[in-house]
Amino acid sequence: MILRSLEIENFRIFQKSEFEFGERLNVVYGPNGQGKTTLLEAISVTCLTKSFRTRQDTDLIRHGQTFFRVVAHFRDDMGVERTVEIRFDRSSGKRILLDRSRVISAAEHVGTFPVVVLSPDDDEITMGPPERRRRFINIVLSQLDRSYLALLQEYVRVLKQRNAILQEARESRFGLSKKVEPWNQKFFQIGREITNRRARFVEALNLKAAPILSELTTGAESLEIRYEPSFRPEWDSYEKFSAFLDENLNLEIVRGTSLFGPHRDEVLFLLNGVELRRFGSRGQHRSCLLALKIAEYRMLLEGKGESPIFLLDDVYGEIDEFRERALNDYFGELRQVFITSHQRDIKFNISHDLMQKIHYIHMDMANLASQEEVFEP
Amino acid sequence: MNLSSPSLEKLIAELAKLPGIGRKSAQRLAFYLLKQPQEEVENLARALIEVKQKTRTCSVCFNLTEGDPCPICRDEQRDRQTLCVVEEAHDIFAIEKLGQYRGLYHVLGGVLSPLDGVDPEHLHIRELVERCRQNVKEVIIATSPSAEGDVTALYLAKLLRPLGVKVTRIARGIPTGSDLEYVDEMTLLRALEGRSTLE
Repeated sequence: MILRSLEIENFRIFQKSEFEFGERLNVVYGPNGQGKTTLLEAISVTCLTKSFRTRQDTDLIRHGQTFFRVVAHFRDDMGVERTVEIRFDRSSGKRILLDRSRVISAAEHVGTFPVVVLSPDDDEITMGPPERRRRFINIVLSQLDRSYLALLQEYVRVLKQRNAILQEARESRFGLSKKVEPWNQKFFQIGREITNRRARFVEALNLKAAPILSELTTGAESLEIRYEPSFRPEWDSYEKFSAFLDENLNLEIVRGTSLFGPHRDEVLFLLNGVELRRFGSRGQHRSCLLALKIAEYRMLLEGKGESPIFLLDDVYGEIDEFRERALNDYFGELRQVFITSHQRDIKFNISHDLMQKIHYIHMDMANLASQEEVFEP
Repeated sequence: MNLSSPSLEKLIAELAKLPGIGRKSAQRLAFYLLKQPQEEVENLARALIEVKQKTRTCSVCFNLTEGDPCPICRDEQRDRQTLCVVEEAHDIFAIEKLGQYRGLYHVLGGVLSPLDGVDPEHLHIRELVERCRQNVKEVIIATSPSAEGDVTALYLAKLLRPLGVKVTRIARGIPTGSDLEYVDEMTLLRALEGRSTLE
């Protein structure tokens, strides 16, 4: 998959701009605050319908405007030209238009144009709270598995409904068990399905990422990724789950929220048998993250039969020499890469061949202003 | 806006309250109506008042009707041992258009949704249970294929089964004439789960 060009309108600081990209390595450079990361963010929106920086779509609308719009022109690995337009309006919400003709849902769209993002926030995947690891899994799995996102959306819906019952029960428990029972049943059905898919995914991720980490550290460190689902394996039927819930209903009512289910899942990264999050050094976190991202790229490539776009946001800002070299080693297998950088000349050693193919995009306000004039006579 | 005609302004404001009608569409409709002959406009106005005065809900199935019980409930030709449970009266229109279903209906008036404060007592569920005590053999649940529609179906099934009633749910699946390739994944997944044996 190659992103050939992108039109951006009313997206954060962009009023109206158009960008053309190179097929291999794109270096987006310029001083801070000029929209380098925002450009990568706009690309991720065309692939995932969501930004990697914020969950609030309204944050993406340019100040004082009512909507944003991004139009991306791709060429897939078969050579077919594809277009996607994502428009978000404060009042009417999001609309995804594929190939200028078909309006589709987010669940249908995600995965069509696979993407891997590596940004400073991603440190949180190994360092942060469990929520960040679930989010990482959700983003990759949604792209890999076509019905996963729809399933997740349905789960969130049922979870909210169930929580509403539990909260109400704090006031009055009248008719509670009858009310909550059918929701438990649906909750279990979808939750089980999500748990199974996550289990299969983490297993596959582990198989891919462990050898990469071993390679990165020349065999010094071994990685194990372990899925710890909130749904216990022994809950293989609704009856067992239901019996457990009955015992814990009081606790759930006191807290006013659902305490068991995929929204409470955890994924552990074990490095040489110890938990990375608690005992890992900064360097170990970084190599682990890198291994995860390369594994993510390979899984998407194999699973989709389409090379993902790789977005590297400001990762070179603080990366040490070792990992710089390591990342360079993997550059060869990536198809199209976008890197943000302060300077035009990026300080890493890539092959001469690749060097020739760098496409530079200079970002500054003057540049944006001149582009605006073209579009807004 | 400062219109020279307050009555026109009032009409536009009233029309703009309708679902799917914005201010501009309301204006267009108002000007259109103004151009119509007196008689046409009076017919429309009468129709509006009449429908409101005469239409009520059937005391048996909660369908919209002018006479009580509704014509479907009164029809002796229909299979009185089968009930089709729907969310709203307009769902009956959709099924009746088929001309295939010969049983009776029961309108719930919505689906369970604790988030919106809709609990079992807010739907016509008590009345459904009462009906099922009277020689009903099968209840077909035709709520929409959403999380809420599914849960409402589960709730009803649990409630009605002890009464010795066969409870069924309409199938969800792939639209006729569509390409498998273009069917969304969730529909395809559910269709796979709900597959049936070829006899």
